[in-house]
Amino acid sequence: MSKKILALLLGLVAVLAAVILLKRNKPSTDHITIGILQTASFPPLDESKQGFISEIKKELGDKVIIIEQNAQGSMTQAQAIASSFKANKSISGFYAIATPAVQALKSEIKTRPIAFAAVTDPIGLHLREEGLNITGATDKADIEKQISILKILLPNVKKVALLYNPGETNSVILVKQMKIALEKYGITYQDNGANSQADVAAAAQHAVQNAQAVLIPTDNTIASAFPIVRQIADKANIPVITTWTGESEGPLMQFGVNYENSGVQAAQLMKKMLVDGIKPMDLPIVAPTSSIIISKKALEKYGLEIPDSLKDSVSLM
Amino acid sequence: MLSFLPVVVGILERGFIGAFIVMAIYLASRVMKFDDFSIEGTFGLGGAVVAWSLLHNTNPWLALLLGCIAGGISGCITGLLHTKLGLNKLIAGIVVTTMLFSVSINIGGANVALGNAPTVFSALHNSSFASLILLASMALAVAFIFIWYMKTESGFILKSTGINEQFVTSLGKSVPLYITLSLIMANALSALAGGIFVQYSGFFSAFGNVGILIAALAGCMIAELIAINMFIMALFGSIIYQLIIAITIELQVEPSWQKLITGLLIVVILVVKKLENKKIKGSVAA
Repeated sequence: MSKKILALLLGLVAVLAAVILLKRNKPSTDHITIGILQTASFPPLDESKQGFISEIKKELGDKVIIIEQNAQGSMTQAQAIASSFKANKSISGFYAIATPAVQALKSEIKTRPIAFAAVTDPIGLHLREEGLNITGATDKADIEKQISILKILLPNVKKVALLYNPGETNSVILVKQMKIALEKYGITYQDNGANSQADVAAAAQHAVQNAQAVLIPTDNTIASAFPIVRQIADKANIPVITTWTGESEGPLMQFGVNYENSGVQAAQLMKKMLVDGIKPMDLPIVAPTSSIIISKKALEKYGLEIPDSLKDSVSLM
Repeated sequence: MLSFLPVVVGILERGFIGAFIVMAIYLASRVMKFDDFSIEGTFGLGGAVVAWSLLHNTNPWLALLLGCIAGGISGCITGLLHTKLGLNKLIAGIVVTTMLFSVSINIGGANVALGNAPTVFSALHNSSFASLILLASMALAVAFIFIWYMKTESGFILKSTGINEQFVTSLGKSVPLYITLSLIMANALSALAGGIFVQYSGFFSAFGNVGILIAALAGCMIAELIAINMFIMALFGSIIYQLIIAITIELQVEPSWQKLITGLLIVVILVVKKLENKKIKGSVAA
């Protein structure tokens, strides 16, 4: 039996060696190879990737070779990819999309530069400590601004329902800020948690029954099940405010980070690190640009008007 | 060849961590014939407990122990749900995993970084092989403890419970006790793996346990294919699984297909096993 194990092991190792030798060309001086590790396939993350790739190609031209990997939501897979990246000496810089990807890369890559996007709380994640090789673009929306617009748009709202998945770090951080901002404007709030897509309908139902508006942070779970939230809110005549953009209709206000632009920002940081030789810690983290989209249909439905003070900063849809 | 070695080291490290879960699956699914879904949940629970402990200045080894204990308690609950309340085995595991998600989030948070908290690996950062040696010795030590345990009277009865409950009852031993005991051990092992993974990767994520069960099942089936002693084979099975995953990464297989590949791998193993069985039967008949 042990012969079989040995044969199997050796066979697989030989395959691995062959693949590595064939796939990895020698690090060439006139090319720059960049490894991309994406946490999972979600529209905002895909946009960050597209933004990065098109910008880095514009900056570096044909010199750039891109190796794309996606962990499909598995942390062990992210770790395995990071360790494969570490071994590939031809890669000179890494682009991490979303929190688990940058954490996996951080644990493996100690010397080569890492740029991230779609990470909400880089300081809390210890990504910016002395001697580290990481910088990037956050996707922390300007909640203060969002709530102030909410107050102007819906001056009569007394209570807001917060709808989110308590298992998503980004949501938890944003909800904390939302609560602080809401308190400042004298608006009360109520939590509605949905741990999975299956629970979203029930949580949304509860939300619309208990408040005059529904506020949703950047939450992958709610975003993926958004059509059901829209249906429930429409029936109950309760306006919805999302902290992401890209919904065609439904939300009264979509307030979000422009993820494609985040990718562009990360690509510019990457170029500064690789081409201009600036140390990652000397490059401050870039804050995202926010885009505010207000639905004409929803304005009519709820009999609202945009005050003049807001007209310049929002786009109508 | 320089770029080849770190890949292999990485495969071995992840293989050894995975081996604990393969042993857990083997103990629950094969020895006790109890397909325990909660093993996926306790991987997360162990990670959460370890992350919390480390952030509260606990010794990293003590943190692992606390994680194991938490996993054991969870296994005990799965066992009690089945034996005392008569809940179906699969449902008991799913119920516990569902509950553990909330528990893990409240202990560890949705995603926390360990920062500069000391881990069992942090003292070894100078050498690239030290972590590997540490992981290998931990995995081997646990494997040998189980090999020894299976030879004791308690281990023998535990094995018998999975094969023939009536026989165990006729010996005057309690079947529910041994079912629960096996689940305690399996889940403590899975929590240990979760705790080690958190220390190894430097962060805890509430979604870190996604896909653990299927990976470990694939490892377990590879191990059975080459079995001599299952606890030793758990190490090989897990390493070979990681090898296959590494090959798919190096090949840059479109990542959305990777879960299909894991599933197909299990099917292929089943086919190979079936063919082997036929061959053996055929030669006996001849």
